[in-house]
Amino acid sequence: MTGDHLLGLVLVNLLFLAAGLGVTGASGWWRGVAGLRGALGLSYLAGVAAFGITAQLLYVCGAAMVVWQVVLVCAVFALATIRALRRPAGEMVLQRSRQPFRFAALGIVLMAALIGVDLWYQPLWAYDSWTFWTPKAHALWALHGLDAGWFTQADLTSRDYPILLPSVEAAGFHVTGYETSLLDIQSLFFAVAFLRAIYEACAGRARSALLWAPLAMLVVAPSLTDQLAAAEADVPVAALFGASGLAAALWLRERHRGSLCVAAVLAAGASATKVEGLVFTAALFITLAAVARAATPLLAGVAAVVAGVLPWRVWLELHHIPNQGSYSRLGAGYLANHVARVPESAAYLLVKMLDPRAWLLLVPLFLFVLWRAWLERRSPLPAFAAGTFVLAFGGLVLAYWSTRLGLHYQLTTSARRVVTGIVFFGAALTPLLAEAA
Amino acid sequence: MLGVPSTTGALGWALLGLGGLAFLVGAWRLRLKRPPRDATTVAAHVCLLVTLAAAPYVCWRFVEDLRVTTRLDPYERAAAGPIQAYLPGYLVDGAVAHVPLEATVAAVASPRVPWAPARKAFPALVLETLFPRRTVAHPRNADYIITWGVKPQAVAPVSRVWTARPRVGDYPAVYVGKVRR
Repeated sequence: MTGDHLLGLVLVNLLFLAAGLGVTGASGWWRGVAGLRGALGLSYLAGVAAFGITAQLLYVCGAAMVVWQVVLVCAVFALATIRALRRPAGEMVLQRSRQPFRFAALGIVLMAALIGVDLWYQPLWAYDSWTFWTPKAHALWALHGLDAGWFTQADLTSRDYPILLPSVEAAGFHVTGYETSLLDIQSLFFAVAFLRAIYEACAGRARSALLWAPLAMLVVAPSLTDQLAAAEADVPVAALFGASGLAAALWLRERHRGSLCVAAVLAAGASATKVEGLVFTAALFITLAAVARAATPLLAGVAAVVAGVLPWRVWLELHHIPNQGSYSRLGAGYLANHVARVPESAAYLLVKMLDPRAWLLLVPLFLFVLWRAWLERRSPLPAFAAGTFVLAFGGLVLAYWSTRLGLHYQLTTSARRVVTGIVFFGAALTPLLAEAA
Repeated sequence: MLGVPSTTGALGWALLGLGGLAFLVGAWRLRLKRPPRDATTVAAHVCLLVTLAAAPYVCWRFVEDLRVTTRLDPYERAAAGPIQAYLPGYLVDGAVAHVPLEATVAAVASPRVPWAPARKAFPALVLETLFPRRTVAHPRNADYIITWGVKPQAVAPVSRVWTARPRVGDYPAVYVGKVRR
């Protein structure tokens, strides 16, 4: 891997950022130059989501997604940036944190840089990444699109997994060539953008200590680095879901329509990244609609699911590929026979979330702040956070309850990773919840 | 992370202890300086101190990882995935020349191959090495079969057999068989 490869990857990610600035600008999330500076993290994630779900749709329709098509898709989204730049600064502009803790910011930047150095030397070694995530991206790039013969072949693991992440990686290959050592750095872009998105959304809305504590714990948490080094899809789906939860929470607080649009785009991206992204999206928008007592969030959730999942599900159906996320696995008889899995799975997942060796005190802090905010009853935010947390957690338990594979094998190989989405959601909401406490 | 030891070790524990000491000093200074009043801010300060305390141990993990990853040679770097599954990255390289690009293949690993992760990952290695050839589930439906630790004729009727890689040490031979139509 050379500096040229890295430069190519940075260029592709700048395209995603440009696309995302268009998405967030069109939604009214930011206005003016100052607003643009304050919307970079969330815009990057929105850009990846918008590009990914569009690329997935175009691949299904037979496009090759070569360089000019990648640039064109991003440019179309980026057009809205011009209009947003011309508008005067609005209410969504970043507000600088008024209190100190700058040493925490410095520490976070240094730690992110250290992670970057480590990932620079990291080869592609994790099982899922070399057996199907990267081969799918390789095939999209080398076979000029969604080659049905290759993508339906017998020995391709997880054929039914959606292709947002392979689409993003394939876009990178078009610029850098086939360079697998860059994929963990691509995941780092997701993580850094997520940290930045929390900072942007909460710096002017939350107390410094409550802002910096989850950010510092996220970047130092050993599990984050472990997962970035594995270059799998768990960090991307968690970043998209966590940022979607953040945007949804801001909509609940301030009822700015743009927040709901951004939340839907990010949730569509999460749904198009991994199967559990769909579960998280459903949990988020069902809770949001219930807490807000409005139908709009449900419509936004349905739009997110349709955009993120439907094209891929149609393609799977047309090519007769069995779907692991199918509702058919929820047979009453099977579930009744395996009801003992529920407490076992729930306990195992909880242990993985609460393990300080993995996530330090991120989840305990979130739960404590949630409890304090709940007692105050000043805001609907605690109900939203608790409902989404419980439903998302329940969705994961249901997945383990209904699995046709060995439960213990499934738990030991995946539980530590799939909880990442819930951990990120909790981290994103902690600063805002603290203001309701 | 590839190079982080599975056990913490003496140095790791020492760094955790150092972090614990830093936590106590930080907590004491915070208490003397300006103790926050509300419980959520106190909790956030505790979390920041815990993060600070964990930092030396986390940095040590990076050092241990980099000690391994910076010393990988080009082959180890390229084949790190298969190597993690006890598979040499070059195991099926010899099959590439015998299988036409448009042909379909089936991968079969003998149950006598002594490593379960390697048996499980063998089809993925075939898929990757023989890209863009496609795999099929049943050997009889394939144009070619790639077998590891078992002769192709024991799996499906074949018209021709090549040895893609002879037996080396504990690693059984890999064969390519052209399935008879």
